[in-house]
Formats: sequence, structure tokens, C-alpha cells
Amino acid sequence: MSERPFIPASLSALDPRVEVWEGNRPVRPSLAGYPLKPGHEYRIRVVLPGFDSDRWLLKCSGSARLIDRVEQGDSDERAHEVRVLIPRGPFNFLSSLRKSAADITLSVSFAEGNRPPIELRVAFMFSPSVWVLLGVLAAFLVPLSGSLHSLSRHVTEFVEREYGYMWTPIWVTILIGSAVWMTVAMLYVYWKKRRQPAARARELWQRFEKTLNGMTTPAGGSGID
Amino acid sequence: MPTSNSDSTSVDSAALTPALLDQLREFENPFNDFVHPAVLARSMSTVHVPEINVDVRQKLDLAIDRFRRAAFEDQLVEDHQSHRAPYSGVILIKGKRGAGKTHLVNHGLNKAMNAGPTVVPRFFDTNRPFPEYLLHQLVQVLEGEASHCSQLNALANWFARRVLVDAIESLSETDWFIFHANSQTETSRWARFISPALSTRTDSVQQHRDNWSKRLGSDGVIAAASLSGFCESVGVVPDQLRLLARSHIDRREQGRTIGDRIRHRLYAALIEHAFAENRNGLNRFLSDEYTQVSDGEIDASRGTLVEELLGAVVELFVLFGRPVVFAFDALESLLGEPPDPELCGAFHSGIAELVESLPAIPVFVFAESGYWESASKHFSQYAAQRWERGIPIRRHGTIHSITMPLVNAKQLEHVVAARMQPLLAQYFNRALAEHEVLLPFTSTDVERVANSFGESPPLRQALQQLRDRYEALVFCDSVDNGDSQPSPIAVVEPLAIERDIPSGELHDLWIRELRAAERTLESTRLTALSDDLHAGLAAWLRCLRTEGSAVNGWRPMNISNKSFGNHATYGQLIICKWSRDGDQEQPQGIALLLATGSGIPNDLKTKLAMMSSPNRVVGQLRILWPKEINEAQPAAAQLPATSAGVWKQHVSNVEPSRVELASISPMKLATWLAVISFHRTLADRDFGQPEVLSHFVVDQTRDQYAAFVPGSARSAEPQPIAGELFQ
Repeated sequence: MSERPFIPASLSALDPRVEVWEGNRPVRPSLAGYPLKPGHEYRIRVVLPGFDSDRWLLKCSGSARLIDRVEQGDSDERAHEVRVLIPRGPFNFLSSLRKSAADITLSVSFAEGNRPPIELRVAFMFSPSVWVLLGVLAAFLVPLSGSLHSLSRHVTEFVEREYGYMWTPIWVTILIGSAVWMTVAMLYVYWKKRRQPAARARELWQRFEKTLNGMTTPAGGSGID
Repeated sequence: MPTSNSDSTSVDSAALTPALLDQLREFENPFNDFVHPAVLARSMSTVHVPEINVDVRQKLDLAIDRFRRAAFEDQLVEDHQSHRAPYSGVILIKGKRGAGKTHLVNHGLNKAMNAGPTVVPRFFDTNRPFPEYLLHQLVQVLEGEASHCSQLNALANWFARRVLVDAIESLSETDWFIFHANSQTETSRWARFISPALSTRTDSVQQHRDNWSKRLGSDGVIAAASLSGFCESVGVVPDQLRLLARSHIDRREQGRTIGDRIRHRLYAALIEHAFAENRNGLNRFLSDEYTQVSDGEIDASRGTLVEELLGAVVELFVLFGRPVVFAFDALESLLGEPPDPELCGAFHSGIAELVESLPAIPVFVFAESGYWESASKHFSQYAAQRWERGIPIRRHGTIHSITMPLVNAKQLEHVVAARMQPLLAQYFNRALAEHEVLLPFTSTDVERVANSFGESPPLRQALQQLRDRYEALVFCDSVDNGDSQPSPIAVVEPLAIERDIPSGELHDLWIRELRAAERTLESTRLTALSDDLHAGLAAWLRCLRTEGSAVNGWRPMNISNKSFGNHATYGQLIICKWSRDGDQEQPQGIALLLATGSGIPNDLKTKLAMMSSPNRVVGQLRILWPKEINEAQPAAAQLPATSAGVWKQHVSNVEPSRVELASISPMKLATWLAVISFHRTLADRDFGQPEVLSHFVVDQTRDQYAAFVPGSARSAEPQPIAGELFQ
């Protein structure tokens, strides 16, 4: 009988563990991945159970366009880290409206040559700031203020002619502007908080399901007679 | 009232009243029960006295404990890679006949709740490699257990839970969140729809991971519960958990050697077994499908496959904390009486090779002292050194041999008290006083039994003497004579009673073994019984030879088992050399088509391939198919479609007259199983007249003879059978 470890690999805790930290605060993932905010710096910390950090190396083998910078972070005796910086808008914000999710691919390689490297994919979701949103909306609405004002004037004339009410144009302008803002904000919230994360969650589940169903070797018995 | 023991100073003579005697006479002598056939082993618990052979039992417990301490739960340290399985070892337990060895095997080794499978082989076959022989015995034990106490179910459940703990802990936080959300049952999904928090409650979801791991990994009641119960309680779809465990195994077990591939398939089969309602998959793997594992380059040899599977199973049981114990008892029935030199040498060397090549196996050999001395003349020095390695036992050093002590008076008092207690309790209807527990005996009676030969007798002999003394005290009228001297203890010649078994008792024993065999056939798959069926068939044919019967002039002359090919389960047959009217012997192979369902084509192919090979071991082969079929049609025409294709394809390569397929009633196989246990029980009782025994067996099974004589079966090519079979 050939020599092999007594404890099966299936029962040995060997997989790397990934944690994402912002300063001293751990970032918890959502179904769509880790929510990373623009202008913030994050630390991705990787621990390999049973291995001191001097027996393996961590490097970033690929990152998304939405990430500004990825660099090697600090290490201690148990873990290695990489630091990632998420840039501020507005261009990043606009591109995030189209695609807000991506992966950072990390690679764990061993000093001992007989172990194959392990690849890790850290899924994240770009969550833009509400203030940036307001700023962008304002930037779009200010150039349109003249058109909005003439629209208000038409509305007040129509109401006075048809129904005999006297409305102040400035209030009508504020009302229409608020309605536009609210509609856009709701669409934004739906898009960013529901639509994009749901699509991302579905994508991640499909990827995970593919891993679950990716068995190539039949069981010792299918359990089906 | 004075009784025969009225002179004893240690008894309260008033306690043995006529009323008590009258009451005792209503019951059978409780000491009649001094020898059991194997089929009644379970009921022996009623006469089990823990104080007997307690030292031996404790040492054997400690020996098993050495392997139990290698359990996975005790090894949860960081670097798993450095751990090695404890090496295997043998302990020889020698004792006089009737010292309680068989009782120790049936009750001493298997009492603890967390005891592993105990394999007690009923026969020994030199024609099979030793690991193959042990693997088949182990599989038979594992498959024969009822599902509620099945070791295989417990192992699968434990392994699946452990893998799930590791798989869940290995998931990244995101993957865990995704898995948790998508593996919920429909009710939980609707709850999430109503409260659609995609990014909230992450802390609580991560807490679920710890909770799941804790519940899956914890011992005791929760671990013993089924996985479906766990899934129900946490609201998860079982199939998702199953997939998670399977993918974890696929990802981790990626070695390419034969051993790695077998382990991978075994682990996957265990996961499927733990989750599946239909649990035949694992059984099929253990008896058949493992032979199809290869490393993708060359086909592994039969020996490699067997050793790797046996090693994987026993190591997993050790990690489970329930080591597999191999116990060899009643060596007379395994190695022959007197000891057969060939069998003795093969047995001794086989065990030596086993402990050297496979780890984590404790082997106990229970032998009668005199018999062992005779058998040991045929042992090799090389193997003896492996035996002497023994098993290290905590606080006892390394032990390779234990001598069973003789019973003393104090222990006999425990035996008497245990057997009399139910009877006396009925009479007194209260807790018994100290001086009442031995009634109707006195301490003097017991001491006399314990020193009847100037030394302590073996337990069985002491029980026989107690039985006779009880008869004298309770059932003989003369004992009422108050002036009589105490009757002497009847000195029973060792085993004198056992040698002369009345034919009625022999018949009862046969019927009992036959029923037990029928129950075994009903509860165990035939492939798991393959070894026993072949050994039983060979033993039965030897009975025919010894008895001297003939059918149409044909007599079996020489019977042997033979292995062939690469399939350890299907690749065996019996070679029977027949002689007709003193002519030259005609060898015939008899093979059993034991597979069912999808296994039949493979089984048939293995046998037919042997016949079409230039290295075939017989010129003629009769394949017996245990199946109730339409007798009007040839058996081959009634094979399932795929198997019929295999038959046609292979028979075209072989001269048709060389292969016959014949059906046999499945329940008739019980005869062969019964023959083994019948011989084994009688060997234990020293029934030393093989001719009488063979005659009896043949007499009971006369109707089966015809199916074996050349050219006389319901075969693919039906041949006429002579009207008068027996001369």
C-alpha cells in the first residue's frame, strides 16, 4: 500500500481564508461581493491554516479597471496582505453605472516546490457615494434650469387659463425639479441597490453552482439503482 | 428442612424450603446453558457475567483503545500531514477448551457503544490472498448489519458531517453567503423575498456558518442523528449540502495514484450513502465497482486494488474512533482438526504479512492451548517475529500473548448468582439477601466445583458440574433426606457429553443454522456473501466426497477454490474433479453468478473472459445463477438484455459445450452457508466424526446433488437427467 497522510485531504483544513479590512473594521460581504466604496483604501488579508507566512507568498495576479491601485501590504507570521485603493468619481462613478462589479484575483504560491499554487478570487461590488450622486444630478440639472423655468411658466399659464388658479412660477419650478430629482434618485437606488446587486448575485451563484456541479469523477456508487 | 447441604456452616438451611424447591422444579435447569451455537450468540447476553475473564477483556479493550485514540477528533491539530496511522498488531489469546473464548469474542469485544465492526471469519481459504479474504469478510459484516445499527451508515454519516464542516469552513465569506442564501428551502426563500436584504444581516449569516459547523461536528446525540434531520432543522435543501460535500472531495482528493483514486471514489460513495435514501451505491462500490478504478494509464492488479480499499476502509474507521477488529476464533474449524499444515502456514504467514503491510488493524487470535501447540509446528520463523511485535497497551507494555485464566470459586459464585437470580427473584419477590443468592447451592458446593480436579476447571466444565449438582439438589427426591451426607460433586470427564450428540439434536442444530442462513440471505447482498458461498459450496462438495454418494455414477473426487482474473469478488470458482465408475477424473469449474442488476454483465463477463483466455484454469465451466426462472426455457435466454449480449459475445469465442449457465433457487444457497456454521458449531463441541457428519449433511441436502453433476442442470443447453439419481 502506498504511503500517504493518515488524515484524508478532505478533512484537513487547507484552504486559504480571506478577510477584507477597512482600517480596523472588517468589511462584511453581501450576496454581490464585498461592497467597496470610492476613495477608500482596503486591506485584503489572507491566512493559510497550518502554514506560517514564510512558507508561502501572496500576489495579485489580476484586478479590475475600477480599481486604482493594488500593492503589497504588510505581513505577519500568519498572514499576507495586499492593499487596494478605490478611486473617486465622477468618471469612475459614471462607468460604475454601467458595470459596478469585478474580481480581484490573488495567487498563493508555496516556497516548497511540490505544491501547486492556489488561486483566489475576491468578488466585490462598487458602491458609489450618495454625495457624488447628488453632485452629478446637480451638474446635470443646472444647465437645464432655463428650460425648466420656461416649462414652469407654461404650466402656470395653462393652470390659470383653464382653472383660474394663480401659481407662483418659482414654486412650480421647485416642484418639477424635485419630481425629476426624486424619480432619478429612485431609479438610481433601484439600479444600484437592487438591479445591479441582484444581477451580480446571480452571476456569483451561477459561478459557485458551476463549481458545485463541476464533478468529473463519478462517486463510488451513484446511489441510483 | 434439612437438605443435602445442611452440613454447611455457611448456608441458612431454612432458606431452601420445600416451597422454594417446588418452585425451582417448575423451571428448566439454569445451568443447561453452557454452550451456544453461533446463531444464538446474541441471546447469550442473558447469561453474561462481566466478572469472568475480566482481566483479559480489559487488556483487549485497552488494545483496541490504542487504535481508538487515533480518532480524528483527537488529532485536530494544525499540521495533519505529519500523522501516521498506528501500526497493526496481533494478540494471541490462549486458553483451555471451554474457558470462555467464544463468549469473549461475542460479548467482550463488542460491548461498548462506540465499538467498531468486529469481524469473526467462519472459514479460511488458502486459495485467496489474505487481504482479499479479510476485505470480503469485512464487507460481509458491514452489509449484514441491520440499518438502525449499521456501522457503515454510522461511518458515512460521520464522514459526511466532517467533510461538510471542512467544506463550509473552507468557503470564502462571499461564497458562504451565496451558498447559504441559495440553498434554503422554498419557505426560507419566500421569507427572504419578503424581507429582501441583500447586504444586511451579513453578521447573522456568518454566525450561521459557525452554528452549522458546530452542529455538524459535535458528537453525541446530534452527530448520531441523520443528515436529513439536520437539513430540516436549518432549512436547507439536502441536495445542496450533498453537492457541497462532493465538490469539496473532488477539489481536495486530486491524487493520481490507484490508492488516491480508490479513496476519492470511496469518500464520494460515503457522501452519497449518507444523503441517499437508496443505499446500495456504497455496497456496490465495496464489492464490485472499486475493481474498475484505474489511474488512467495502466490497470491496477487485483492485489493492489484490494489492499488499497481495505486500507482506506480500516483507516477511516480508525479516524471515526471505531477501529475494525479481526478476531479469529474456533481455529479448529478454520485450520482443520488436526491442524492442516498448509492451512496453518498460510494463516500464520497471512496475518504476519497483513500486520506488516496494512496499518490500523488489531488482530486477536483465540486458540485452544493444545491445538495451538500442534499448529505452531507449521509456522515459519519469519512470520513468528511479526506476531511477536504485539500491540502496545497503556500501562501494560507491549502484549502479544494472553493466557486465559481458569475460573476460581469467587467467579463461580458470580455465575451462580447471575443464573439463579431470575428464578429466586420470582420466589422471594424482593431483593435477595447475601446468603440467598447462591441457593440452592452453598459456598462449599461452589468451592468444590472450583477445585474438582485439584485445580480450577475451565468455565464450561465448571458449568457442567454445576448443572449436575443442581439436578441432584433440586430434582432428585433423595436430597430430601436430611440425614444424608452431602452428595459428592459429580466429576464430569472433560467434554464427554459433547462427543455423543444425539441425531435429534443434530437435526435441530441443522434446522437452526439453516434458518439463520436463510435470514442472512434475505438481509445481505449475494456479492457480499461471495466468499462464504464459495467456501460453503466447497465444504458441501467435500461432504459428498466423504459420504461417497454418486449420481449417475459421478462422484466428486477433488475439490478446491480458485481465484482468477482481476476482479476480487467475481473472479473465483470451485474446481471439482468428478470421476465416473473409476474412470479418469474430469475437472469442472463451478462459478456463481451472484451480481444483481447492473452488476450482472460485469460478473458474467469476468467469468466468460476466463474461459476465453489462453490461461483458463478449467476446461469446462458451469455458471450457477441464483434466480427463479421459467424452467421451460434455457437460463441464458432469460438473462437481462445487456447480460444476454455479453453472453452471446463471449460464448461465440468459446466452444459452446465448455460453458453452461444454469439456474438455482436462491434459497438453496442457504444450505451452503449452513454447512459452514454447522461445522463450526460442531467443531466447538468437539464432534469428531466427519463421516457421520457428512452423511447427515448429504442426507439433509440430497435434493441439490443433481444440479452439480456434469450435464444435468437447467442449463443454456438442456441435457437429459437420468430418472434415478442416487445409487
